[in-house]
This record gives sequence, C-alpha cells and structure tokens, in this order.
Amino acid sequence: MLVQILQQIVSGFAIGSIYALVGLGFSLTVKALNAINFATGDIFMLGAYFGITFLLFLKLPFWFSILCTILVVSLIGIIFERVAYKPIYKAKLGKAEHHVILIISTIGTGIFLQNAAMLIWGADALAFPKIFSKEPIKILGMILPLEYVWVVAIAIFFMLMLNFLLQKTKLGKGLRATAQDRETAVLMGVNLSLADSLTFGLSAALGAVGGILIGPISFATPTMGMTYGLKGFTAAVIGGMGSIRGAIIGGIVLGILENLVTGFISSTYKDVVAFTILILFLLIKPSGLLLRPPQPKV
Amino acid sequence: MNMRLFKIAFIVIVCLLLVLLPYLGINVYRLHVFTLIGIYTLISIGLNIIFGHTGQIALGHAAFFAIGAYTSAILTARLGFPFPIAFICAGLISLVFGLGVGRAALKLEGAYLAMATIGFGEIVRMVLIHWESLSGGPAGISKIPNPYILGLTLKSPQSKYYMIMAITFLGFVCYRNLMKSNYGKQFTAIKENPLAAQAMGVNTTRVKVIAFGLSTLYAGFGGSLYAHLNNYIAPDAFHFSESITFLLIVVLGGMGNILGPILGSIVLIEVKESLRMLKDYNMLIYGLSLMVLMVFAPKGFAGVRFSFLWRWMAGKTSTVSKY
Repeated sequence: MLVQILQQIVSGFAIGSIYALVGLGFSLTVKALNAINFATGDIFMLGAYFGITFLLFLKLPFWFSILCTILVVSLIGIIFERVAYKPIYKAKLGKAEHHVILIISTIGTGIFLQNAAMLIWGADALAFPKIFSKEPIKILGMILPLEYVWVVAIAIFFMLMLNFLLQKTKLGKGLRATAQDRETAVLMGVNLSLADSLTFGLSAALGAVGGILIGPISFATPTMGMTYGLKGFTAAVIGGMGSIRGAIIGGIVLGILENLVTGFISSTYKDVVAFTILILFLLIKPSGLLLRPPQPKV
Repeated sequence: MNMRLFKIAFIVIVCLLLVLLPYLGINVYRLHVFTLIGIYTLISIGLNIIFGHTGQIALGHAAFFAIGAYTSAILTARLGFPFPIAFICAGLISLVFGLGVGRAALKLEGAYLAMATIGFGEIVRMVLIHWESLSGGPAGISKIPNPYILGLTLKSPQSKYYMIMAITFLGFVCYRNLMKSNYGKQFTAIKENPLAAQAMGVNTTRVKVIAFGLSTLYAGFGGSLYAHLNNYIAPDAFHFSESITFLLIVVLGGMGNILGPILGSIVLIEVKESLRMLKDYNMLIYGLSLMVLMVFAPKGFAGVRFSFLWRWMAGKTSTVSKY
C-alpha cells in the first residue's frame, strides 16, 4: 500500500511538472499584463505537435527538437501577441469590456490554433516516438519509468533557466520592471512593446517545453489544450498567480492529488478533481499558497 | 411625437413579420434556425443582465442551460410530468443552482470569475457524462415528449416556433421593464463603479447575486425549450463553446444594450449556420473571425468603431500612455 502511494506520488510529480510549466506560462502573462491568455493551453498543444513533427517526421535528435520547438512556438506566441492582443490592450474600453474582449479574442485564437492543428496533423491522436529508454528502474520496491525522471529533470532545468533569465540578466530585469510599473519602466528606457512581445514569447516557450515533455505520458490530440490549459491555470492559482515558485509548487501538488484520486478512488472523475480544487482555491484562498492576499484598493 | 409613432410602427411591422414568418415560404430548416435564434435570444437576455448590465463575466452559462434542459427532459420523459410544470421547474432548479454558485463565485472579479464559472460548467458537463443513471451518459436522453399546453400537443415546427417566440417575447418584456426599474439602475451602477455604488447604498453583493440568479433563470427556461424543440439532448450540446456563444452574442449586440441580445443572436446564429458550408474550415474561420471582430469592433455592432484602424492611420500620438 505504501509503495503504491509512493508510486502514485512519483508519477504525480512527472505530470505535475508539466502542469507547472503551463501554469508558469499563465503566470507570466498575468503578472506582466494582468491578462489571462486563454490560448495558453493551445500553445501547449502546438508544442506537442511541433515536437512530434521534429522528432518523428524530420527525425532530429531530441535536444535539437526541443530547441526547434521552443523557437517555432515562441515565434507563434509573439505573432499572436502582435495580432490578437496588442490592438485590444491599447483600445480605450471600460474595465469589464476590456477583460471580456481579451478573453474572447484569446479564446478565438485558441479555437483557430486547435483547428489549424486538426487540418495540418489530422484529428486523430498522435503518439510520440520513443525518446528515452522504456526500461524502468526499481527503487524501494517501486517501479519507476525512467522517462518520468527525465520529464521532471528537463522541466526543472527549464524552470531554472527561466528563473536565471528573469533574475540575473538585464533582459529579465526589464521584464520584471515592466510587470511592476509600466509608466516608470518606460521612463527608465524599457521598450514596453518589445517587453510585452517577449513576455508572450517566453510564456509560449514554456508551453512548448511542456508540450514536448508530455510525450512519455500521453498522446497529442488537437483538443488537448483545453484540459491542460485549465489544469495549468489551476496550478498557477494554487501556488499564487504571478509567482514562479507558486506555479511550480501548485503544479506538483495538483499532479500528485490528481494521481492519488485516479489511483485510489476513481479515474472517471479525474478532471473534476482539478476543477474542484480550482474553484475551492479561488473561493477560499484566491491569493494562493505562497502569496499574501492583496489589500483592497480604494 | 413623430419619433414615437415611427417607433411603434416599426415594432408592429417586426412583430407582424415574426408572426407571418412560417408562411413566407421558408423551409423547415430555416424555421428551425429561427426557432434556435429565439432560444439563444432568451438565454442571452439573461446573460446580458449579469454580464452586459452588471459587468460580471460569467462563462458557465452552458451549465445552467444544461441543468434546465436535463431537468425538463427527466421530468417529462422519465417521470411523466406535463410540460408547463417541467418548464417552470427547469427555470427554478437552474435558479437554485445559480443562486448557490453566484453567492460563492461573485466575490471574484474579472477573469477569475470567468475561470471559476468555466470550472463549474466543466464539472456539470462531466457529471452529466459520467452519472449515467441520472443523465443517460454520453448518449443523453431521447424521446422527450412534445410540449402539451391547453389541450394542444405542439408537434409541428410551426407550433413550436410560435410557442418559443411567445416565451422569448414575454422574457424580453420582463427584462426591458426590469432594466427600467430601480434594479436596472443598480446593475449599471455596479458595472460602472462598484465602490461608488456601495457608497450610494447599493448592497452590491446582494444585487450581483440577484442579477446572476435571474440570468440563470433565463438559461434554465432556454434549456427546457431547447430540450422540447429537439426531443433529444446529450452532453455534447452543452460544451464550453456554448458559453462562449452566449457571451459573444452579448458582446456583438453591445454590452448592456437592451436590443443587443436579439441583434447578436440573429447575426451570430446565422453566421454560425452559414459557416457550416465550409465543412473542415468551419471552426478555423470561426476562431479567426472572433479574433478579428474583437480587434476591430470591440464594442459590438451597436458601436462599430474601427479604433485600431484609426489609431494606425493617425500614427503614434503619445509615447507614455496607459498601455
């Protein structure tokens, strides 16, 4: 029993680190631009499909495929920001109008990407080629697929890269400054337009990494974006929207909880778990586990 | 006075057109689309109350639509209740759920409220798919009886059209009067500035919950009509994309515009039906047009202003702006 629980927890880690990547994608845009990009899940789906394209159809080596996927998908993210996001962000509208128009526009983009993927790659589920050896390793009586260890390791590597980029480089400083105070940032010489595009690009890049890492765990389907998007969002909410550490912790907590429910209670209600957690957190602790609740502004 | 006469004449002509519509030589499919427009108008009127007038983004109305439809279907097809009772129960049960969800979720704002309501919508859809003894699972409920009112069984598409148009018309009149009442003004006050509304003595939480409840009441009635129009329902019909359709109707018609839901439904349902010709490219073009519409006409058709184009043509005017 204990071994079983441990095993569920470990595989929860693997799927959780993917939720964390998607959640980070949400977090970045929310923190910088106070806007939820509903196409984040579909960008993740593109990551999976481009990953398959580079690995299976072009037969590129794994590391090179990851790099190409990140490049292509973040480019798509940037184009998307320029076309569907920026004009609305600039338009003069009321607060409620603004939110909803961004929501509809990003949902529209999501529908577009979904159907474009369906036309390009077909509506059926596509399997990833074998990337890592399927040989499981045995620790403490648990059988661990080695692939899961790789998924977690690569996910952590890219999260550390993101942290380094945001904390230690000049570029990251600019992005963080923009997120904190746009007016002051522009006075300090930050190019806001470029910063917005880069934020979207980074968010898409994280989605792309998540998408290619889903390989050992699941198939790619054109409609996968919705579920993973909502779970990534849940991860970000659990940890605290806008916090990097929060999204990571939230993703892993969600992955583990979901796996425990699937393994011990019922697999039919697997997705209901995530949505229930999302609603509970939004209602009881909307600031998440790591952030302090904001003071109401007058 | 002339303006008023003109307005009355216009309304009379539109009503006459609506009444004569089934006899203008249109086929059954067109009539079905018009009937659907009636149902979507009814639900969008509800959504316009909470979203258009009160400014709260609710993206889970497909769930209340579903609750209404399943309530009505189960009561009539399984338990043998007459249609009028099932119809009223559909609205009331949806209202009960709506008040519960609203009480909890309306503490949230903006995109967070949107996400919470999406989450609720997905949970309802999954319960409908998996709770087979209640909902019939993915196959749904079939053989829903035709409405039976005042000794008449409404079997033909024409009779259903008249019934649904009459109910939608009634719903519209109630809605219009509500918006002219004190409550309508409170809704708008909350949308414009919740703090100022509170300072003026508006109990914002209570009014928001009332607005949300009313909108779910409309969605429940709409669901019941939908179930009896098609005689068949399945969870697929209550997908998240339906919530977006309702929201889009309100945005296209102009948020908080009293005639908005009618205009928006006519345009959107017609466009969606005609896009079907494109087959595989249908949803691709649909998604793209959502994006383009929001960029170029964010205020809906009621206030088309190509603000982005204007700014683009005028060139950059200021460097330090809010954006």
